[in-house]
Amino acid sequence: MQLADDITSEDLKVFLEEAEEQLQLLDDEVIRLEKETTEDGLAGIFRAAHTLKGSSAMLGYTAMTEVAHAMESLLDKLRNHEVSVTSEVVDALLHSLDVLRVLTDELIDEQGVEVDFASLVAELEACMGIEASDSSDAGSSASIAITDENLASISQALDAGETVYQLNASVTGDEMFASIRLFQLTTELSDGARLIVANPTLDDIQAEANGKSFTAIVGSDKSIDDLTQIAIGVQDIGEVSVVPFDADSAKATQAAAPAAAAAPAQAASAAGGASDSPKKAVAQTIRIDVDRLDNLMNLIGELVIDRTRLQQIGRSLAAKYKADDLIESLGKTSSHVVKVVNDLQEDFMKVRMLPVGTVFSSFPRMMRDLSKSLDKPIDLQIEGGDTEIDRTVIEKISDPLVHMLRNALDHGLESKEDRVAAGKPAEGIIKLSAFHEQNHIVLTVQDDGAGIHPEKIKASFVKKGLITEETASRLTDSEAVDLIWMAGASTKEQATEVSGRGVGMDIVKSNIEAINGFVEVESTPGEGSIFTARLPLTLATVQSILVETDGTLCAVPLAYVLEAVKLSPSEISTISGREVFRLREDVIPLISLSEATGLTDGKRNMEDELHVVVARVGDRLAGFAVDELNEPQEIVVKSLGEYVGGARGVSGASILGDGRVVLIMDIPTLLSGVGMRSRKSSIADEKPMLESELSEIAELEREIKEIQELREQKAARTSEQAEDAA
Amino acid sequence: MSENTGVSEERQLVVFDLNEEAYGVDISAVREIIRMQEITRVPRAPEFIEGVINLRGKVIPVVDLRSRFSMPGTERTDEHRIVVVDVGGQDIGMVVDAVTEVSRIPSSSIEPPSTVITTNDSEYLTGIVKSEEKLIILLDIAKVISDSEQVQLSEVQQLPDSAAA
Repeated sequence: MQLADDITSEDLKVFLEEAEEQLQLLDDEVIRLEKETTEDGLAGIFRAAHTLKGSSAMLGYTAMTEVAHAMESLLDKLRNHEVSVTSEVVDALLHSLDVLRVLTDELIDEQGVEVDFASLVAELEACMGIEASDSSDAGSSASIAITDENLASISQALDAGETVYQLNASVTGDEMFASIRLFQLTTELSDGARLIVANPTLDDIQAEANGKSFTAIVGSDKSIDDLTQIAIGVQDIGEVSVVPFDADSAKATQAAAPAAAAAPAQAASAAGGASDSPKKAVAQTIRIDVDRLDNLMNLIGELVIDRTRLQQIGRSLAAKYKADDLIESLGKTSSHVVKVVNDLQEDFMKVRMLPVGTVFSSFPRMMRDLSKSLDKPIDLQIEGGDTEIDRTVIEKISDPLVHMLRNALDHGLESKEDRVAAGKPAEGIIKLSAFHEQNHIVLTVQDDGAGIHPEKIKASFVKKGLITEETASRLTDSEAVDLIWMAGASTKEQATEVSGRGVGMDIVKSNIEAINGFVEVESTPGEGSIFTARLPLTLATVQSILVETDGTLCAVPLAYVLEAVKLSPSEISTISGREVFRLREDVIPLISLSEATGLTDGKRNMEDELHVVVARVGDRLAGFAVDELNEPQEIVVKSLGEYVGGARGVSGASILGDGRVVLIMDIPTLLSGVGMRSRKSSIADEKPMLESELSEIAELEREIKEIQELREQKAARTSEQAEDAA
Repeated sequence: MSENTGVSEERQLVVFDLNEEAYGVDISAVREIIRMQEITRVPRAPEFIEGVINLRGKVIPVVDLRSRFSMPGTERTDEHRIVVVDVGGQDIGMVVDAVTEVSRIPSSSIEPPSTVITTNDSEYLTGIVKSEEKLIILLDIAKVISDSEQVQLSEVQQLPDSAAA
């Protein structure tokens, strides 16, 4: 891969960012094109392809320029209604996009891929029906129009002791690059001299309303030779002539000028009118390096901590020196600081927010391709793409969503024939929606397919030996449906290459839970399924309940906390060496938090009442015994760094208002630890962990039920309800 | 010795006490020296990592240097300090018995460690400074930390043997 010589890594970065943006835009628009063809849509595609062509040419990335150019030619024909939009055209365009992506990736990792341009270009040309031939006014000589304004600039230049020159130049290389080269030339001249007027103007060049020749009036203190060197220094620029400019003769040509100037100006307004609008939109946003945002976030995090400390100091002072004027004004100032910091934090959180649609945008293309290859026509409906969510979460939800969507199409929807037989329209509906609910974003993927049949799932699990028939018979319908979240689950008889080799939904679940999220499925056989994922809006802060265990303060993310209960020693029973307690219908293993984390060996006073945090991750429940429970609060998540970051059972740390460091408990890991323990202690056999757990829990449940049955149930419930209320 | 204003090169060391010996680290590696503060233990972290502290809003790990060098533990006093060093871009605190001085020494007074100490585990010992009053052992702090993982590994590997014996 060959690039122009003077390309810096910064240039490359800018290019890649822009290319990514344009490719994404192209993806969206081309897919939309298939549904309905609009002038605006076509203009958008054309613009994006054109931008890509331009920026890749700047970079000297010829391969990409060629593909973009071929695309552009086809798009031009579409725009002029010389070719109509057919499925082949869309395929060809999408194919080009794929190639462009490969080429972009090539810039990043330099794999040295071979791209078959010939067949792609042929494909594009086939769509055009005829050989592509460019027609632009290559030979026309550029003349220049001098306005009164220009004359004023000329006198300014002369006043500044500069000489005014007329510079003529033309592009010698490929016409395809003419506008690029002229753009470079214009920029060089503006940098090295006072560019008074040029034909074509910069706007014309950007709109590609230029030929191969160029004329400019410049003011400069440089010599003719220097200016010539500047112009010749630009690639593909030749035949440069620089002559002193005669202002008087300019006035003479002024009369003839408007006609000459009008032509390119009109051409510019045709294409340029469109290209104005994205420019305006761009001007209202800026790109910021994510690292900078993270840094700012850290600084604000420190402010937040100091804010709390300031408040505390203020309160202590107020308690010590009552009715002192200074204290009062300190109080006022500090409460103002508190308010400002709160606003700052809140607003900054918003800065980090992105519409979730940035993730959605790649889905239509993916689903279109998939629906074609599976021969399952779908109507993909996307709602709530503008719902905002923190950048950190955005990064984490893409994979799970892709999987859920593919799953819905591959496993959820029936085949065309089956749908018709079932009296449904052949086209299936998959609906992806996003919305806010309290402090969460909710993402749902809904299909109108066959739904999940509890009996089929059970049978499949039994067949695979993942659960025993006995266990299966005890599962309720919804428990059976929940089996899909387990490793090794695949309800389809034949694994497809798309989704479903029995890995997947368990990964979706663990990915979502890893970011304090929660996912569930509801299904009605024959009518379809709906997968609902509930995620925190940000990973930068987390609502946590602070607990103290064995003298150490820990934070348990509220997302995992089912409830907090108080247990008296009599409520704790021991089953096969493990402590358990009952919470309504469930029998829950009890473990001291300090033991689970490995802080201590977990010995505790057996006499006292226990505070227990009941945590849930998916179907795993456990009670963590702690010494003390505090009010839930929002804490700022900090990394532990690489030397201690690997500590199992701890996901991060935070700093409290008083400066103390608390560790944030990694509840999913701790809970899986509890599960492991049960396996080790009861069943030596390695393999069917799920089965053993399920049957063990079921076993426990039955035992306890038999023992406690009616005798305690009522009493327990009333006392628990009383606690809940308290 | 520090009056040496000649052309010979000098090095500036932060000198601290550890188990009644003087150690020195190059001042360029030291970010700051802070008083002892409450250290939050981290479960299942490497053993020589005593825990984490809050350094102006940042959570940084703290290494107990005594434990790192297999020295006996000691009661923490007012003299104890945490020397915060920069290791590969990450701040790490080291608990030392006391920070005694920042001293300027001519490079010529540094002798290679091999003449005095012979251990196979002394890659982080870069030299010995002999002054009138005492010996200062020079540490390459990055190596002290990065070698730790290997130390940890070898400890783990030794466990089954010692259990068998």
